[in-house]
Amino acid sequence: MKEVMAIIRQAKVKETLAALVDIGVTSVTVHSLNGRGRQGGNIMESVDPDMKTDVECVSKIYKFPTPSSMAGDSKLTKPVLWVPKSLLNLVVSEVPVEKVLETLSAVNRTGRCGDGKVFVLPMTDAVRIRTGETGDEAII
Amino acid sequence: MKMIRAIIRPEKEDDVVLALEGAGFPAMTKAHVFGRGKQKGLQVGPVHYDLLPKVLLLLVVNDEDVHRVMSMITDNSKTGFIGDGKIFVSEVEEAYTIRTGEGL
Repeated sequence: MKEVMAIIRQAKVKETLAALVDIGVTSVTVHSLNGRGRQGGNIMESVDPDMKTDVECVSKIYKFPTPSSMAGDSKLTKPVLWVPKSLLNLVVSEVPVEKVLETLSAVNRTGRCGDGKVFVLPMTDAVRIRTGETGDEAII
Repeated sequence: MKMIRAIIRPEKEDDVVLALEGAGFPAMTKAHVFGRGKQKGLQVGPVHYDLLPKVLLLLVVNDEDVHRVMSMITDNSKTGFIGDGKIFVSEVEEAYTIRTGEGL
């Protein structure tokens, strides 16, 4: 049993879920959250060319408010930027993990920064609350 | 590779994130969550707050960086009062960048 955590673009969630159903993965938990990658969440460079990763003041972030900048903490020496993302959380046992990874990358790969990450974690046990089944039975 | 899940005070979020970024860990995921600990929430006079707002930071780092990241998070989010939060570390078997398909 493995847990797959995929952090993807919010716009790709519907398409990804449909593709997952096609390979037999129907159970999934979706979270809406904020993330940032190696670029430090700096998508503003494409919006505003003056906006650099190492800006020294916070005045600019008021033009593009993010949850952190909304706090208006002027003690910060640089803006903390976040990009809205979706986290898909799935536990698989019957369907091979490789197939799930293949599907996730086939749907979500655009070739641009921000496509996301996929993590595979070991999952030791699962319980179906309704019946009390444990292990692989619980998630089939 | 290890996944670090840190549940911290929302007001300490920026301090922690900037410290991690300065040390070369800019990549992370953040979620606003509600939780409670051993004290079962907070009692202020007659009002009982069952679940308190927290920020969940999620990062995946190499095994050798785990202690550095953990101490950075604790140093920057510590107030010494109840409700500072928890850090959980779990094993990650594989990690891929979707854009390139490379393992990390």
